Amino acid sequence: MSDVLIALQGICKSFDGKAVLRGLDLEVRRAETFTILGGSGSGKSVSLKLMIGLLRADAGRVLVKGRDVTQLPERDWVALRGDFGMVFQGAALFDSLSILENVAYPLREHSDLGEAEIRARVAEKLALVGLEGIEAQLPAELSGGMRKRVAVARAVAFDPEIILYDEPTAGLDPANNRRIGELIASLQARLGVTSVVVTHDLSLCFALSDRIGLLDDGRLVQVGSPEELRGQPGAEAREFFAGSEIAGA
Amino acid sequence: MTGPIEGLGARAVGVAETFGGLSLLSLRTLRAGLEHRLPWGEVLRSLEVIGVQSTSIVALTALFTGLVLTLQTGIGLQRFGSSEYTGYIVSLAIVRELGPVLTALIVGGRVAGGIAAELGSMKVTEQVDAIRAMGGDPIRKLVVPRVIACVITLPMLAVLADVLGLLGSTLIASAQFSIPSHYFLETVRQSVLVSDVVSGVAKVFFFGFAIAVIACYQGLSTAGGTVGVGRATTRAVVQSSVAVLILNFFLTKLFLLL
Repeated sequence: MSDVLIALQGICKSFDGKAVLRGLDLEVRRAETFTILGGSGSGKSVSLKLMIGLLRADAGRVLVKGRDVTQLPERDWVALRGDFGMVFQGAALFDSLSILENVAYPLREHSDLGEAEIRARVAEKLALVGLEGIEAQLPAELSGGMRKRVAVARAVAFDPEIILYDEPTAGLDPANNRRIGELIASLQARLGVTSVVVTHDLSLCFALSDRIGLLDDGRLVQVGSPEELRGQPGAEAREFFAGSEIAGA
Repeated sequence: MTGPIEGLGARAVGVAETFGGLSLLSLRTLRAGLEHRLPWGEVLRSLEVIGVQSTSIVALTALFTGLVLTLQTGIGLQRFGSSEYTGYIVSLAIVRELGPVLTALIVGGRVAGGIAAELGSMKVTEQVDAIRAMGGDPIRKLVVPRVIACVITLPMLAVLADVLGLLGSTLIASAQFSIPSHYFLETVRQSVLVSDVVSGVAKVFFFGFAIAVIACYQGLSTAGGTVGVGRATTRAVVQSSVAVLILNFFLTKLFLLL
């Protein structure tokens, strides 16, 4: 079985004539945490959405488990998305549904579990993120950090192989920032999933990642382990790190 | 800077895109509604929001429309000494046109704005993407329940509007023109045929479908954050009102031919 779980090959993507990705090549290996690092508007979230079929590439190929899914129709994506969990930048919890229904959503879509089993699974996943007993609450009643943790619980509810995190610490205070980082690391260790993290948060990136890809001008300009990026940063990496603690590392 | 020709061209392309998008969404909604099990919880919630919560505004509109229409018609006929014929005229106007169209415009404005704002907010906060990312279908989950609620509740509200409009007419005919209620209702009975009621209510079924699809389309097409939500809401209200007025003409012609 191939070691590569997701591959983006020569991906180009534009919005309203503005090129965001210009020939992006990227490979995510099984059971690793791969982080896409880059500035605002560099196309990090677009890359993530291409992997799960929420956006279509203008050119290039997207491979998931060796299967070319570039032109896969939406209805065929439905089954494939059972392999994915995704944590959105703003958590994207459904405002009108309780936390129970939010976390249960992928279970109801992808399984025939009974109500008791669904409730048990939701309680288990909420416990995993340290939020027991909040099933009856609405998303609006939770803090930003709690909403992010519920989003993580929802992403892992169906035990996916791949979890995509879109700016998981965006808008959080330092304490919640650290908590989310620890949560992602512990999930990785306990569940052995493949994680793709998109962030511009350097401390999170270096704490979590097995490999890091630096996205600049629509393509990955440097890929390597955290040690490699720290030890031998290229010109773009040096510029990106400038002013941060990493610069002095 | 674009000239008037380019501006006109861009507008024509925009209108064509909207029509194409609405047609596609209508087809996908019908297919999703027929092929998959319905999310009944969401359907019930939509029935409550769209139907039950619109009852009071429809009742108020219909009652006062009946009052003022009868007042104006009665005064006009009084000049010819024939105010006793008021019931013949206003009952047809209410049952065939005012009940259905005012219900669609009033409820349509309220419902289209609400749906577009709700779905638009879900779109800009990535909740629609979240549905897709979890293997769900936003059309089945969000559009189908709202369309079902609109096509069920709007005809029922139109019947309510007919009844209350005629009630208002009866009251003012008695109070203002001294037309006895039993006589007024007898003129209504002689004037209004079952086919008049059916054509009025049937029109609202199509209005309901158009309002829901336009509102959902605008909501799901929202881009540009909260400003985009405002724009989508405005477009949904305007387009659904215009659609009701245009559809009304063609459906009236069609039902007259049948």
